[in-house]
Amino acid sequence: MNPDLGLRVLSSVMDWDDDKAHDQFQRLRLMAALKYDGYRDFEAGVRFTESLASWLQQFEPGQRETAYEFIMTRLVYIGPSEMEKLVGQFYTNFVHPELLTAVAIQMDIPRYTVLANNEARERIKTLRRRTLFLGLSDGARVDYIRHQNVGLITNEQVVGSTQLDRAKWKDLLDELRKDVNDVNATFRAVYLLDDFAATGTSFFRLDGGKAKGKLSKFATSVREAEKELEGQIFEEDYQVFIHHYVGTAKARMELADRLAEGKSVLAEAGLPPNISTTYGLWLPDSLPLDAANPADRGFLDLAHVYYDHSIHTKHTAVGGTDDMKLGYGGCALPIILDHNTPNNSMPLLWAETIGSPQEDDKAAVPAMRPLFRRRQRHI
Amino acid sequence: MANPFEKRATEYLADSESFLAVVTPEPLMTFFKQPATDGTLYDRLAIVTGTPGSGKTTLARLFEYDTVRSLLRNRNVRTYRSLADALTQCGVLEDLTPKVLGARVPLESEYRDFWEFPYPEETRISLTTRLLEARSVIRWLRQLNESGVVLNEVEIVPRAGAEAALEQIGGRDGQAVLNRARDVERALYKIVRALVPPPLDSLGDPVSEAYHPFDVVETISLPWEGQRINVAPLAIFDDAHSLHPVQYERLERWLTQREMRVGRWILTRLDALNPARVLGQEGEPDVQKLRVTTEIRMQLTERRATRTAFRKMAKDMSNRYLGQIEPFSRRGLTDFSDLLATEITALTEKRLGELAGRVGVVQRRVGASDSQRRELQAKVEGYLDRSSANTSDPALILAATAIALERFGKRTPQLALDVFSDEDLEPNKPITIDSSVIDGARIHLLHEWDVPYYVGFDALCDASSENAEQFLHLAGRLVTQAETQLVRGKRALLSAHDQNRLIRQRSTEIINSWDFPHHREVRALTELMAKQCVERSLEGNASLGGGPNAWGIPQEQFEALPDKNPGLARILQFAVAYNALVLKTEHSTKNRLWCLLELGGPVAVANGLTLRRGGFLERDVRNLIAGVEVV
Repeated sequence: MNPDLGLRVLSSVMDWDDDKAHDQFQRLRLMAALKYDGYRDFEAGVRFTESLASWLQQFEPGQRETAYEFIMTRLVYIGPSEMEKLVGQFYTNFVHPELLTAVAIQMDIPRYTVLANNEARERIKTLRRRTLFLGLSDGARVDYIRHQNVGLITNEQVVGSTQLDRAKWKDLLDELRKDVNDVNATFRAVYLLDDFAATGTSFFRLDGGKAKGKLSKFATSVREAEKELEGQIFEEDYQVFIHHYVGTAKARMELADRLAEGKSVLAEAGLPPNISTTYGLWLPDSLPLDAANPADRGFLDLAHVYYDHSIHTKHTAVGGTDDMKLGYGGCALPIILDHNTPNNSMPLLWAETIGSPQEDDKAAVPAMRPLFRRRQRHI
Repeated sequence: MANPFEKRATEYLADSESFLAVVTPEPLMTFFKQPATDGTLYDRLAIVTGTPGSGKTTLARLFEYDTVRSLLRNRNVRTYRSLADALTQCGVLEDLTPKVLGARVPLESEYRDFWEFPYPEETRISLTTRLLEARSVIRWLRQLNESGVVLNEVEIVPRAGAEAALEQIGGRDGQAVLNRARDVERALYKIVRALVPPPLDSLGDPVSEAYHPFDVVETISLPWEGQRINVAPLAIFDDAHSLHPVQYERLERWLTQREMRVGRWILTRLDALNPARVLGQEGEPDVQKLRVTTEIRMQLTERRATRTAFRKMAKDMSNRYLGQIEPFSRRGLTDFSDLLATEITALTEKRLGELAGRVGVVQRRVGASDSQRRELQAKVEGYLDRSSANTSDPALILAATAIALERFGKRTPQLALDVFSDEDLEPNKPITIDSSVIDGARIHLLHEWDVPYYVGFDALCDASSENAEQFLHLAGRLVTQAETQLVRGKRALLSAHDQNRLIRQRSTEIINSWDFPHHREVRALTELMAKQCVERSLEGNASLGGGPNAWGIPQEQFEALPDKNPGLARILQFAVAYNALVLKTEHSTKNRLWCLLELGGPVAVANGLTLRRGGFLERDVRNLIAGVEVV
């Protein structure tokens, strides 16, 4: 589609006069070019402006301004450049300081003297090599971690998955032992990396007293590999660092609480007691939409009206809510990640359903049209 | 390509081809052709001054060898021909062969830092000039190299008697001269970029060694299309206002040396000059100074010529820019003035009736009979029918008739007013209708009936105070609005009402964005001036036609300003340097010489004042002092 055609349709959908159209066209062109057009699900000819025009048409004319203003003023879009900054800062802001602390403790010297001490610097190198980096999803951008830390982190200590087979674990260990010249060497820490945490339930939750989520899958994978290899992959009481590039206030609070609560279950799964969580970017408490905020009420009303309950499934029920009007876990987030929209974001942004007509005593259900269509992992 | 109207600074156009596509030759012809013809452009120091956005850097780039080379490479492109012609007339080209090797050296970077070093002034100026010389040489030779010339085939031709010094700049061979210049630059760069200034006695070679290429080089010989040609090197020092004032003054003095054979220009904003120079009070430059410098002010003093020349340049520039914007070029819309409707929508019958009623009130107040009113109205209609600049329109006729009636009232002897007399009283001087009455009527209609005044291409040009950047800011708003209309499936043509509204809106934005030194004082002064000008403009009899848009200060008072009120002079300097005010000195009215402080285009437009020049309010320095007081 001709981009001008998208703008023309949009201005007609919004019923703007020329002055308003002029101002909004400038704004839309800028934002589309800088950010939104890069959304991975958009296709040539149907990018942001065209999608926005189409999305707004699902609302009544009187409601469109509310929806438009939400997009223009409330939406938080994290694109590749922002994410790459966060990935790029990961080693410097989190790994390096931790290594300094670990060596200072090992050698019982003040932390500020570590880099002036030759032996300490050698130890940093060794500890760094004995640290493993595992990506929990494509969003972990392990390729970029490798690229950004050439000379510091080797390819043989960065893996894009937590569930590794025996051969891969063996390969990782063999390479480590070769590099540190120690046939008994094991890893002393692991960083489990992911791009975004809104509730942290997909990472770790207790379900009927059992550990669920990516953390327990990692524990299982390690335990099975150690059994098969008949040896340890990690040292006793190794460190587990859970790092998300972006985290909501809710995730920061609730994930830490859940990990504390599930300590014994995690220990049973073979995980060490030293598990800590870090975040490259803390999203503010005020980010989620809130009915108490008058500026949010209009869009929250739309989210209640334009809702198709068919998007609520057994998978989304895990979030602990009876419906998905505010997204998974009731997070009500206005956030978009360029490679996929999190399901914790307002479904009105990403959900696509066919709706259903009115039948006997059942009211009609509106078809939900997405602006930033989400690729569902669970169907 | 992004909207070029919003990307005025030509530094942002990386390659020469895209630069050439948007540049217009008009300023070359206006400002440079004459000195080039007189032979004073390349043989002595030329100081080019102008307000920000007047196009100094654009011109500097145009004279660079890279650009000239690109131009010659694309000599068959139709739009480049006028540029090639202008460069030929300015002596840069001859028979499509370069005669000048221009290099632009921006002074924005580290040169100012030298001035902060704890060294004697002589050392600091020596470091500055040496780095400038080295960088000029590097730029000359690098441009040749980038255009495919092998530097070993480039030969430096020294001026007579400078053969001995030739060795100090690396000899005759182009490559060796470049290497030497690089060594000098590297050594100086280390000093300027050192965290702590190196001790004076440790500076060594970079300061003590002789390196004066400007005193040595006369021409540069290079292979060109199978033969050898000689080109005259030209160093263009851009943005000289970045230097410390003393540093600037020393640089200027250094470049005036007559031994130098290379062409050298200084391009600077008016801020860098002293207030007296900006306010035009240094008197006539003395003969000695004229012999060593050529001054080019990119704002002409002959104002009628300025407006005509600027309109021509603006037209060419805006058409070139418009051609770069896809929605316009796709539709073949390449003439900017075609976007601007000139027809003004008539007032509604109801509003026209109200206006006629008001004219009736004026008629009764001044005691004019119906036949006298008809006579005046007929004069107005007759004038408008004959006028090519104005279109007859019922509202305009009524407003002009009201002014004529007011004038009638002023000129009719009041003592003879006898309401019982049947005879019509006649004014003591006949009422004539001319363009000033019509302009006054249009201003009245603008303020009282919201009838568009700033309409058409010429108004847009005049609203820009002859400043290219300001023109593009105003025009850019109209272009994006026209583009919006196109996108929405409408015609690109902008109604008179929209033009007037958008230009005024944009002018207000320009004023609101002022952030130059003393902008608060300048704002206070211009607001006061504008307020008083509007009051006078709206007088019923429009005694100054379209009204005043300036204050007139007695010339002798104004001349004494830099000495008696240096603070005020400095404020006015910035007002002039940033287009808030335009000066017209030695304006003769009522047997007296005045200096007119005209409100800059955007201020006049934002306040609904006439764009015609000449109308002013008589004021003095005390008014100026009171005006710059920030509340």
